[in-house]
Amino acid sequence: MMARARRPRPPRVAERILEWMVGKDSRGRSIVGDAREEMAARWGHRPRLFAKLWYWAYVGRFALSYRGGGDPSGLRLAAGLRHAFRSLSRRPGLALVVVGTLAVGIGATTLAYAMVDGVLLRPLPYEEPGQLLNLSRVDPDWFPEPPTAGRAAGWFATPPATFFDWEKRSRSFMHLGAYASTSGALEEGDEPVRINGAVVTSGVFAALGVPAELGRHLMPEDDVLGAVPVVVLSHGLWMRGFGADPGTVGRTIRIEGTDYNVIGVMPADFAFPSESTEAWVHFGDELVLSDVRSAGFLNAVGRLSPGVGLGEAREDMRRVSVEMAAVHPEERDFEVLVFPLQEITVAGARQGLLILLGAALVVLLVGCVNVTNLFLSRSAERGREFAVHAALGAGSGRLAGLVLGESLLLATFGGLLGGLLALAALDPFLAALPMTVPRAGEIAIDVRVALVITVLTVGLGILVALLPALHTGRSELNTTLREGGLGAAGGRRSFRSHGTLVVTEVALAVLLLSAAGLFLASYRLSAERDPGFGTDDVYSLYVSIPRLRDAAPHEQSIFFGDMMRRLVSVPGVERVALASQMPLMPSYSMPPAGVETSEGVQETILHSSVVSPEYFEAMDIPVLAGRSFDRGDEDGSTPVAVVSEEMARRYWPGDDPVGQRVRIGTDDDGVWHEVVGMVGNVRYGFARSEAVEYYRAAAQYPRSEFNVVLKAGPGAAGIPGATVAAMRELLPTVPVSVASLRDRVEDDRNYRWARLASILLSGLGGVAVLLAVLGIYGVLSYAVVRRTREIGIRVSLGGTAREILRSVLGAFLVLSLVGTVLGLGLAVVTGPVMRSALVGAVPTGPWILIEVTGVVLATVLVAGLVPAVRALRVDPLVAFKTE
Amino acid sequence: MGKKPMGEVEHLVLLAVLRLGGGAFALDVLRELDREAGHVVSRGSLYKTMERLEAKGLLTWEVEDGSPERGGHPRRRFSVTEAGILELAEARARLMNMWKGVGGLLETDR
Repeated sequence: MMARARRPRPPRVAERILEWMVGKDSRGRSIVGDAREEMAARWGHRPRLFAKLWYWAYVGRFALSYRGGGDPSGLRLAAGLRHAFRSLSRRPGLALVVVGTLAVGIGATTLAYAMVDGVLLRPLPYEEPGQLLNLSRVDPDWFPEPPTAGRAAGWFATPPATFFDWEKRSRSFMHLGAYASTSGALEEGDEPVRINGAVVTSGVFAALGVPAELGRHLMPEDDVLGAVPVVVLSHGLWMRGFGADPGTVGRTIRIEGTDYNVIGVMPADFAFPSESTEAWVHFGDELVLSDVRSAGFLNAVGRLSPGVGLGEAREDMRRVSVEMAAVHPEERDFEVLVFPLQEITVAGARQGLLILLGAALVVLLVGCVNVTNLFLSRSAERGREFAVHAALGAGSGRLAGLVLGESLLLATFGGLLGGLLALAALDPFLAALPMTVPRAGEIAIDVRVALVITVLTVGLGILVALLPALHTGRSELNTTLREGGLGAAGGRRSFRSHGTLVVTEVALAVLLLSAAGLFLASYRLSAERDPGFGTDDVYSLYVSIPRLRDAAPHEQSIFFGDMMRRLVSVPGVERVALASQMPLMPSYSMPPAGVETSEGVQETILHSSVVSPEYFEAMDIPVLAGRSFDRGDEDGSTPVAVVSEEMARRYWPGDDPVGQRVRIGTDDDGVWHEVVGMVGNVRYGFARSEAVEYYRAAAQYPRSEFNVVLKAGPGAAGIPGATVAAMRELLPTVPVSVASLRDRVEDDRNYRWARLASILLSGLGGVAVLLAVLGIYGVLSYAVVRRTREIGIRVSLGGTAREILRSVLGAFLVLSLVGTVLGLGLAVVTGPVMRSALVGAVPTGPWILIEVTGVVLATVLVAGLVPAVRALRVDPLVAFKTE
Repeated sequence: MGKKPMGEVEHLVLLAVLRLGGGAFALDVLRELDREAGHVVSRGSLYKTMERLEAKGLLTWEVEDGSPERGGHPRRRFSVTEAGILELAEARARLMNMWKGVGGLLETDR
């Protein structure tokens, strides 16, 4: 991180504050400009962070000197501030600890809240986003009841023909558009590149209501049969691929073998359906004409007509489904899920982000408890001073005000420092986010977030002071004076408050560590679990040959056969194989199938990959029964299939899978295949379970696109470069990107999220424990100091070390245990929510809780022992002298 | 006279603007004060002082378009008004008057 920007931008919030102080006329704007110029001159070539910090300091100093420039109210304010500073500067340690503690909590909360705000709360960047809905056709058998937005989000399964029927029959929508993500080779410049895009109907743009930045977006005439192929570019692609040339609009570009007319460029913040979408192409004749209804690949987005609600739209789509089922029996088994687009967009991240925010708040709470502790001790310490004040006629409200004012001031500093910490952490943090959280580009610390932090800071200032202020307000003066005189433990009330705080801190630490432990264990379990295939010396690349799409099957076979022969001659490559879909590579389909079992044919949809005979060996997938494919499985011979162990277990438990039959395709047009072998299970991604899957022979299902698997022998390091060179020679217009499966594992979105979430939660858990330990240490040390005289008396009366330890630690141990039990209870209660937010394996058993209990109790004990040992060293003579 | 005499900072700011000739921008004034008078003024006080001088009719400014590093914000070119020059001259005369006969004393003190 720490990018070197030539022209640093001031932090937005700070600049707003400056603007607010100087006004927005030309005088004010020139002052703001001066500040910018000065920042650019000083910090233009240093890391942006420094510039931001400098600017904040600038605004702070400006506030003091500009307002204080001679007018009386400014003077009063400055004097007031100076007074508070002076009072606190007598206890710099206290001020430092309080500000630091609050800053950590507020910083973490700010960051977490900025994420929640940017991803979950902020309305989608479209016109009236509340009116946008997402529609997916689903098979209810595959959905939980009630269905969730999270499942519907990834469920691209609506056929084009079905969508066009929706368009005609539905009455609730002003605009309705269909979309699906895709990717293709852009042949532009020296080197072809693979770009991510979407096929869309014009209704998508109409519904979202975002105008093109340049040219136009799709219009209804682009959706019809025979329309000229058109493409709309993203701002990013236009900048990167076309040098931001306005003349790009109107040009013809070649994507995946088809010529498209560029009709427009969308603005930079338009990111639909995802942030990686770089181009939008129209449906084209093939999709417009498609009459398949058994399976699809689209989702739809609709804008509600004015006055129509979500419930009515759902009802409307139910009616549409019934009508359609009457005409097309294939539609019978499906229903339409309708969810707000916002929910669909962020469904995957919602729970995780909320848990992070919760964790940050817990850290903040532990911090507040600590600070309250400190204030409580301070007010107890100042008890006699207050008592004297009161005796001289100060009301208890005024005394409470003293504590309150001080804590507000400290909270303000904590808030400012916390805000700065969050600002400083934002950039490195965002750098870790892409491909992890949707809408990551919209996360920012701006006025909205600043406002929340301000409210939080003021609230904290009051909260933190509340307990001590009440304590001060209510304390009976006589008692205080007497207690002070006796040098006892600060009164019963104070002890009770301290006790509450110890219990709370331990409980919160246990809760947070349990959550962190759960995420960490889940991440570890998922990462360590056997994916079922080799990762370290296996590479893959994706090859699509547009001109072969409509070629004769044997031409496709010959082409890929030649390519494999060529690749196997690359130094270091030991084996080359083909697969239509394979773990960690995008895009896979689950076609309908029928499985013959002892209870008849079961209709289902299953993973299915078309592979060459070398695939299992190249991927280190063991053949467990029967055989793999071989040269005899060719076009015209008996259709054969190889099944995964999981599939065999599910459909033919206890039976030999070899010789069973699987029908590929629907009841009407399917072809029966004979199972000739069974292989080990694989997982298609970090968060996925073992695939129920069957393989088909590449020779029997030739295609124009394949994933190519390269198994490395000695000299593996050079494989990516040499492969790219060989491919470039063979296929100059096909983009090639070779990566090891190990790298692809680490690019997995779920993997990245699981890792990030466990790192963040562990960090927050660690901070919470640290704060709790500091707090507990503080309370005990303070208690020992307060009881120095009492302990001195015990020692002089012959008290043993054991007795003294027990008197110091006894109550504390009980409190810690109570806190632990409470924390474990909270962890158990919140467990189901936490577990449902996990993307990978779900750890079971009590081990996490047991470990967490051990860690917290051990740490807390150490924190308690130090002051306890100090109590043992109390010298009775010194003890008496101190009073 | 009825009007308040200039403070030291006001005095220095006017002189700095004059010394800079035609092109006195706020940041230049700041640098000039620092370099020539060894006087570090905080930004806030500088702008406040300039506003006071403006209110007294001693300082004036006109707006110019800003450069990119100013984020498009305008900048002000300051100049001392005629009244300002008169005021400076008066102030100098007052001071010179008061200095009469004191110079030698200070020198022997050194």
